[in-house]
Amino acid sequence: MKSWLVSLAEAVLLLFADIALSAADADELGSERLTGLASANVGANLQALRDDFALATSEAKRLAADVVVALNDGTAVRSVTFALILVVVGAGLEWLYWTFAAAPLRAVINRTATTPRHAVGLALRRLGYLGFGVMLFTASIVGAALILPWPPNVDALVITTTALVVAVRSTWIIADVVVSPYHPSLRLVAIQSYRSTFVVSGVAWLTVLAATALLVPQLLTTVGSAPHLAGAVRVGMGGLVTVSLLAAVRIASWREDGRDNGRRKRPRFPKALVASSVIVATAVLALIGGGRIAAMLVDIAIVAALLGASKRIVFFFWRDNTAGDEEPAADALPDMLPLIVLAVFRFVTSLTGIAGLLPIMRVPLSQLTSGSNPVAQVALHVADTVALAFIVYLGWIAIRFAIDRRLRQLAPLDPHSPAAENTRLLTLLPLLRTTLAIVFVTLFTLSALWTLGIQIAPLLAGAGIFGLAIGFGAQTLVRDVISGVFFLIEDVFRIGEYIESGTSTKGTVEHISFRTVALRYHNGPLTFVPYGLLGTVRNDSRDWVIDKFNIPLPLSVDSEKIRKMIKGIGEDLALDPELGPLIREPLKGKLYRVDPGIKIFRCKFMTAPGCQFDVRTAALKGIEAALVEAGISFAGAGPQTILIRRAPDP
Amino acid sequence: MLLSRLIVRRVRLGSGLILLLFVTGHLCNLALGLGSVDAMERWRGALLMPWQTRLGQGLLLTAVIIHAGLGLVSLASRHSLAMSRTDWVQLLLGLATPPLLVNHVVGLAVASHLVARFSPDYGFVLAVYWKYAPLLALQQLLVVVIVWVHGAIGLYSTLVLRPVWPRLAPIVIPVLFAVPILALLGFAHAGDGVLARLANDAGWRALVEQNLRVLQDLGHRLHVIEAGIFLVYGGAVALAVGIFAANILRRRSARVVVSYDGGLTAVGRVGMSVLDVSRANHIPHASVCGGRARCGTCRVIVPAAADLDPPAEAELATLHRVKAPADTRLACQAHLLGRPVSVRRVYPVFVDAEAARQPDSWRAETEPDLETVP
Repeated sequence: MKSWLVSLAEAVLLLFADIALSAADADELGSERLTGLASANVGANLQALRDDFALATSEAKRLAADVVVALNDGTAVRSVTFALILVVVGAGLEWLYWTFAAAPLRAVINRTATTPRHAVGLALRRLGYLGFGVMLFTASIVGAALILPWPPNVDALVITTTALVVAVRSTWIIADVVVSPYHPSLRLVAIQSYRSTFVVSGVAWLTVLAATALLVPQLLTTVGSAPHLAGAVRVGMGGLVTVSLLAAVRIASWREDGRDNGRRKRPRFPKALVASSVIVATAVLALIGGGRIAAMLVDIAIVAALLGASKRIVFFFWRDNTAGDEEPAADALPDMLPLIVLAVFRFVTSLTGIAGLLPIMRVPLSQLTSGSNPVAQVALHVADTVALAFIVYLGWIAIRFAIDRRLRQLAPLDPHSPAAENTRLLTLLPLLRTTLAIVFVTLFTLSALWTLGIQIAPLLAGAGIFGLAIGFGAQTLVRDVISGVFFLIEDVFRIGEYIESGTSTKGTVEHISFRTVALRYHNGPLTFVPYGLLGTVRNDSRDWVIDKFNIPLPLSVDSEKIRKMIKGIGEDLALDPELGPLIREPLKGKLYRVDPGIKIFRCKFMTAPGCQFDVRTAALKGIEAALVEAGISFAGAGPQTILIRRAPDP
Repeated sequence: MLLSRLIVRRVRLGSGLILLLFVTGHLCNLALGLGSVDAMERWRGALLMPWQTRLGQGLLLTAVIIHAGLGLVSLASRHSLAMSRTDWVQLLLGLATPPLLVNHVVGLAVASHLVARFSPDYGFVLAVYWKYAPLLALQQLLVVVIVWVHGAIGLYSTLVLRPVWPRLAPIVIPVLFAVPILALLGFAHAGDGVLARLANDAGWRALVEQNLRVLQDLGHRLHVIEAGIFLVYGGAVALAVGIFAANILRRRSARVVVSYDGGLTAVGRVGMSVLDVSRANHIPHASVCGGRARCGTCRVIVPAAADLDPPAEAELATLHRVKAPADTRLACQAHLLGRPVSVRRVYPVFVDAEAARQPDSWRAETEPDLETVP
């Protein structure tokens, strides 16, 4: 189950829910009414925007006048004095901390991480050192600010400034720890060295802009009571953020193009284009008053991007196990841990995305728990489904890994090699894997439908009736499948065994599926026999085989001598390094019948299944050689013409 | 080099200490504002009067000129801008101080020289700052913090290398924090008193305004003096920056390869020190004092025939103090001459000032291999 599909569907659902709700408010469900409402809304927002810019200058002038007044009555001087005390306290205490912590931090920064997982540990330690510095800075500033007797309204200014500084410093630290400029082995993302400083400064710059866009307008509205100026600042900062983001996307893709020149193999997903469109769409939506939809768009875009890159992000930390490749090779068995981490990552990302949508849709917490809000209900259902997908996926991974690991421990499957141990497992495990996959998908689909509130009982009933109808039509199919199940349970044949079925089809079992078994006849053709038609099965590859053959010799030979000779050959064969281990009972021969003019000796030996032909060839070769040495020729089976030459008279 | 670096360093430190002493006294006086303006005025005699004698003023002026001049000389003789964060802070704060401070000094000290009946007592100055020229007050507040931070960092980086520091720190560090905070608080508290008095005491207000008029009458002459100072200072800074830039431009193509232990290599220019090259190329290199030939932690093992300028007196003294073997140099003092150089760092990058205070404590376990970090 692709989780991003879930999140996409969920986004669409919520969007519809939003529209439906606003339409319900309007008490009319016509689409014309809806578009009318929307356009009126947009118009009003644009008008408000114009007002913001028109009135911003006068408000700015008023604020400047306020500042002049504050300067003259001593408020400003006092505030700056106190602010400088804050700076001395905050920066000073942090400096004091760094006189102790700088050396350990340098020790961590200058280590070389052996694996990306090791780098994560080191990054956490660095984050600890740096984060404690910022925390100390914040705490001391806040503590000092609480003690000082601020002039009215200045405390809000101080809080805003502190928040701004702390936000920028925190993001900077995080970006620095994650990207680690100049220390490639500590890096937690796949970024080339020449880009790392650019990324860190870009993140810091964007945080400055975004924090300003969020915090300053609020301050202007509450303390400065200049809502229009606030609106103008918000729009201006938002514009700057948009332009910076677009520039960042452009620069990132431009450098990528430059590096890949001439080596590009296949067209790729136009990431830059999509990212730019999302940014522009968000900005436009925010501008015309669709703030909630814009926020949803951002939420969904971030979740989609994270999910799209989830495999790369997670496998990055197991880079060393896959010899530098971004993704493990298809035939290599990947580790179980990265896959579980990947699942957890996707799960957490999806859930966070959904949780992020709830405040955007302004769902009150009380309604969330009681489930009375339809949007919240949908979100909860989707979250349930995602959780279910996560659990099912984890279960599937666990089982698949158990099976794959077992299969790998066994010999590789080659139907035509001599029978190996554990062929039964080799036969059954892949079948089990497929069966479980089907069971899991079915269970998940049904549970997901049920969780989403769709009644599955009628569906099951319908499937039952439908199944009955099909069942009559597909009797043979059912018979095949069921007899197949019993063949396998009773261990009638395994892959690699030579069988003969009742329908006189015979061959080596090459492949076992749900309905048929594929038999390779020894001179080539592959026969697919449905289990239902298999009938009596004669398995030539079990336990042992007895082979018998006759040797006709002239009547004149000494039977006892021949018997000993054959026994001797049998003992020789049993000592043969190649054939010896295959022979269960050595070759023996005895006089079997005496026909006119011929003595028939019957030879017999027991070997492992499938080896009788080689042993027989070797035995015949040995017997012939011995006979030639003894001057005995084979007797013909048919009438012999004996020419008697009369000896010339003396 | 005209003067030995060792002497230059001591002179610079001495002038800095004189200035810091003056600033401390001044700020302590300001802190008395937490009591009252009168208390400030009473203690002014004790705390600031020594500096208002002819000798004190001469000493102060000399210290200012020497300290600023030596700062600019050291800027001009740099060969790279790859400095530690502390050095950047020191440089920028140092450069910002004179222009911010000039009108305070000219407006009060020089004006009282020029006109006998002008008596800039604390009440008057505070009244001006709080009531009549608030922007100047903001400027002076800023300069209080700037000067103090500059001085505190300088004092700390000198003291931290001395063996006595661990015993000194519990006294010095609280003082470093307390002085500016108390001074700012005193300024704020005294400001309240002055504003109240201005509102209530009309006679005093008249006196203040009369003093202010004297100052305004002097305005033109003061401006000329200020402009002259600005001109000289600006010229000096421009000269220093110009020399620095010319140095870098002249040698921008004179590349030298420096190879380090652990297979690292870096490219520098002729004239840069080995430590400059490490910093510019982000090669981990221990340096506790920041490249002043004081701590000995940046030292490197170099082949005898390495193409580096010969060690100066300051470097030899430090090397002797840390009992370095004969084939070592201080990376901050070993300047490149042109041919490639190969060096081996002695200390791991994470050493702290302890290594400078007690050089013996680090040697045994760190010399074999730098790349392995415990």
